[in-house]
Amino acid sequence: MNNLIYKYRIDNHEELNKTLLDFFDTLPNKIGHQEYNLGITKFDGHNHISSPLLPKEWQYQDPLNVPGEDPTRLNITDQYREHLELFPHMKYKEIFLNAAKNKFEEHAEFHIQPEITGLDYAFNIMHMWFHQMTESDYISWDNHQWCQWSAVYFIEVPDQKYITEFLNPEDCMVMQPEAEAGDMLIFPSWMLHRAPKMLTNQRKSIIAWNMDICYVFPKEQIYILKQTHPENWKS
Amino acid sequence: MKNLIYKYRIDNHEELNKHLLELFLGIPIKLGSHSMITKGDSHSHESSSMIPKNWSQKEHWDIKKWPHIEYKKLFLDAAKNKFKEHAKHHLPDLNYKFNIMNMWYHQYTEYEIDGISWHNHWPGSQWSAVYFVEVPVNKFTEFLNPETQETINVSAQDGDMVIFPSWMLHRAPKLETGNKTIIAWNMDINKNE
Repeated sequence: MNNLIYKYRIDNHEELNKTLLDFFDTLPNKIGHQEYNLGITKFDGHNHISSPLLPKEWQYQDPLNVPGEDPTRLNITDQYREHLELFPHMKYKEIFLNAAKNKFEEHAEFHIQPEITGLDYAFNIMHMWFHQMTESDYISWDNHQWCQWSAVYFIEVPDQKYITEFLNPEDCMVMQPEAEAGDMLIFPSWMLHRAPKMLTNQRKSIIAWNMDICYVFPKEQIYILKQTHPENWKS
Repeated sequence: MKNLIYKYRIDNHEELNKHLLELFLGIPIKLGSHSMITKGDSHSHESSSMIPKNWSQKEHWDIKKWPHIEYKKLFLDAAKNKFKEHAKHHLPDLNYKFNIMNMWYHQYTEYEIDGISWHNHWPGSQWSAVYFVEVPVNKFTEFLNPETQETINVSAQDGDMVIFPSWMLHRAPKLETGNKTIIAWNMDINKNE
């Protein structure tokens, strides 16, 4: 079960984390409403209207469900950039994603195995949010819906004991991977996890998100499908 | 990786499968589009997201418009205890609720298809699953284990339900002989407050 929690160390994370923390310092404590089961001091809630807004290159729409559409042509609008002036706090998403892109690709290539399967891939991030937790803050057991993968990036963590805990359903034991600031954990969305209660006045800061890694048929495969099953491509 | 592919045997599956196959006989050849199947209601069809009450977050069940979706209720009623077993394993000591996003059936006939190539399921679900209504002897689904880059062959027979993570690549090899009928779906198992 341990191998379902994938850990990646982000390059230049010290510089990245300083930029993120300086940016969070400029934001108000609450952006959106907190859900009743969360105990967090500062956040942009994943139920806030800005939560599903991500740069266009990180969101994907199925071109195979659009007859005649080409998979390389993404026809969704860039809601993130269109709303950046209205929700300037979202800027942290772009900063983080640009810095972590190569590790996202590593995770995707591991699970899609393009050389074996002949498939391409695309990311679809449904929601992204940040939390800053201080003394007495915690999140109880939880899993995430409508997605294949969930993930957390640690910007600052006072101690190993405040790293996310996971429940292994095979033996009902709690697992706590070793991690620190600069680490990104990606895990299956169905896996129960929690944030341990903060028993210190030091701060913990994280970014979290839900995503799919979508398989994408290469253009050559689409071309063959159009030849063999033309009726499926008629409007 | 093998322990991520969960197989359950449905009680009274012989009676269930007989009912399902009779019901499928009365359905038009194709509802919706799909590239590689002989008969079925595609997951791109309007009725795909219609799921019986208590199994979905949507109130979307319109059996008057699409009477063929009766098979979903028939199957879910029969398999309910195995769904619960899977949920309790992953959310021990918690209340839970199912959210099935879409469900579809496929019927394949020998020689008519090349098989279904590598794919995973998206958008947005924790689990995907398949129930085998009828399957030729020694037929299996292949999963790709990214740890070893090897395929995992999961054999299944009539009456087996296989549940696996939606992100896991899988494929159905070419059907060399006989007929194959399956029901497939995507779902979440969520904590129920």
